[in-house]
Amino acid sequence: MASNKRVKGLIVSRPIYYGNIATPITGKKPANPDHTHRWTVMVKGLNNEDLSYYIRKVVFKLHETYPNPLRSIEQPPFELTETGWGEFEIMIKIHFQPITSEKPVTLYHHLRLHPFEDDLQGQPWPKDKPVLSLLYDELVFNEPTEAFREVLVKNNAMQPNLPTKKPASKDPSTPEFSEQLEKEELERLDNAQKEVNAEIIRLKQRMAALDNE
Amino acid sequence: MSGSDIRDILEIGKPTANDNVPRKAKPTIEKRPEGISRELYSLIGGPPPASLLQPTYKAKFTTKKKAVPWALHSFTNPARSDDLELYHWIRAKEANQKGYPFCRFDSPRDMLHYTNDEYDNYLKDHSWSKEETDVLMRLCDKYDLKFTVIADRFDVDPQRPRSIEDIKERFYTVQERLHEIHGQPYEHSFNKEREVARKHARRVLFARTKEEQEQEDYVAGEVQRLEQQRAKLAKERDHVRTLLDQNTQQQQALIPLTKKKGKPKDPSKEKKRKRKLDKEDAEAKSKMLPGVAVQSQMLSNVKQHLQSKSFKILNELGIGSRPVMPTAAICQRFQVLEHSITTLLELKKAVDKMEVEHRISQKRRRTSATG
Repeated sequence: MASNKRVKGLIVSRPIYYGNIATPITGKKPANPDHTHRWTVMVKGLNNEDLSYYIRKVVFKLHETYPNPLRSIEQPPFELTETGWGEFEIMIKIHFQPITSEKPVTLYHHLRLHPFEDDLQGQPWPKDKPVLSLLYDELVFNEPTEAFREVLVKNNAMQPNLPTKKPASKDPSTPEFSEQLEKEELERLDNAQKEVNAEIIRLKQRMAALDNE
Repeated sequence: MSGSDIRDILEIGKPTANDNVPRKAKPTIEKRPEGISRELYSLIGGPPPASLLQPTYKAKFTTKKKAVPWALHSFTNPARSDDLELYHWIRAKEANQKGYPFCRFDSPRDMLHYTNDEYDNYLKDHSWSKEETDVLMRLCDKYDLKFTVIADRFDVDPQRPRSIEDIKERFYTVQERLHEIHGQPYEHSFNKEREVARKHARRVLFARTKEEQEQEDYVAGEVQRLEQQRAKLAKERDHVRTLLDQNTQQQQALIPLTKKKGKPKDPSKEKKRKRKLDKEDAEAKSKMLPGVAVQSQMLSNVKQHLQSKSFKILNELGIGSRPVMPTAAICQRFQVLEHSITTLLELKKAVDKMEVEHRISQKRRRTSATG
């Protein structure tokens, strides 16, 4: 029986992504102004990972105007589909399996129904195209219990295991989060850092010049 | 028979006031108030009759203090050369205690006088004749070294008026030499130039107009403010320097990319890096509490007042306010970048201030050079 003692010095990060997909409702029936979009809010793992080995349930708290705003999803896939007309903030509370001995974690997500950017070709967003808002994040377990570590090992989850490349298809449901994307962002950050460093050096020189005068 | 006939017969003079007494006295009509009609006055009435006014009595003088006895006391002034006896009132208690307290203001000066021989031998001066010096000594005796009076009374040569400084100079020179001759120490030194300058400065100071005084106060205030500014600037510059140091430190210790399987490039380099990373990792981990946390929520924010500027710079560099993919490596680099931007902003602020000061001091130098 693995104990609840914590493994000192061990940090395990589990990558996830969360957010929503929304499609406007079109139909032959007359449009209902209160239900203009159908949307799905979700919490998922990369590579279609099944998160249930460490996530027990996810509770989505919707706007008060929805009946029973606290929606609890207790088995994978941890997602919720609804219809509505307005954007609002959804509180996402992730409850972990008891074996992890961890407290629940809260995330906030702004539900996006309306397109907020132009299409890649610079044309206005086509009317029927679904709107996406998916955000990457990592759940960082600092000093997990021995029991939890065994679970992680069993599920090959000790390393983040990001997909190497961005997905080839432009399928909206598979996000772009991958090692490739990380590398691109890192390059951007490094370039920015270089520029800032150069500017700092320039200012330092200016300061030295003024000091000497 | 008329009154005048009777008077003629009896040979009496003009009728006296007594004769008018039996005459019916006309009631005196008071037309006291000017401007008020008679009817109104009768309504209001004149000044109230004296019987209605109550006299105000002063409180009886009572005090717990006992009366202090004073005595008329005779005294002599030991500072006087004669034995003049005068009287004054003092409290009976203090009657015989101290001597006359004001005698200390009349102390005789320790002024040395010269003989004619001494004058001829030691004290001759080209601008002062013996007559003048004699008169001066006499005046000093008489007026007890009060030089303003002495200078006023010194009227030997009307065509050569002597200023107070001239007189004082002559007097102190004479005294110094006399003391030298007699082997006595003399500590008063009189520097005529310094005195003249001092008195001139004093006069100028006294004669400052109100505007000049305000200007001087203003300048003094400015000087104080500048000094404080300098101290503050020095502190800020130190702060910026520490930020710069931190910045370089942070950039040297960065987490590598998250990799599925790490293929060691170079075993020795890998070991060195690993050792350094382990040290940094240990430091970072010690800050984290055991439990679960969200990576993006661990990003600490920039200081309030720099937030908008920092955000603008990030935008210019093509980076959003939060990383797209917050992995551990990216989050760390993002924090380092934000820290660098903060350093950059502080540095820019310090340099801007220096430039302003520099420009001001240059302008000042130019105007003082030309003006």
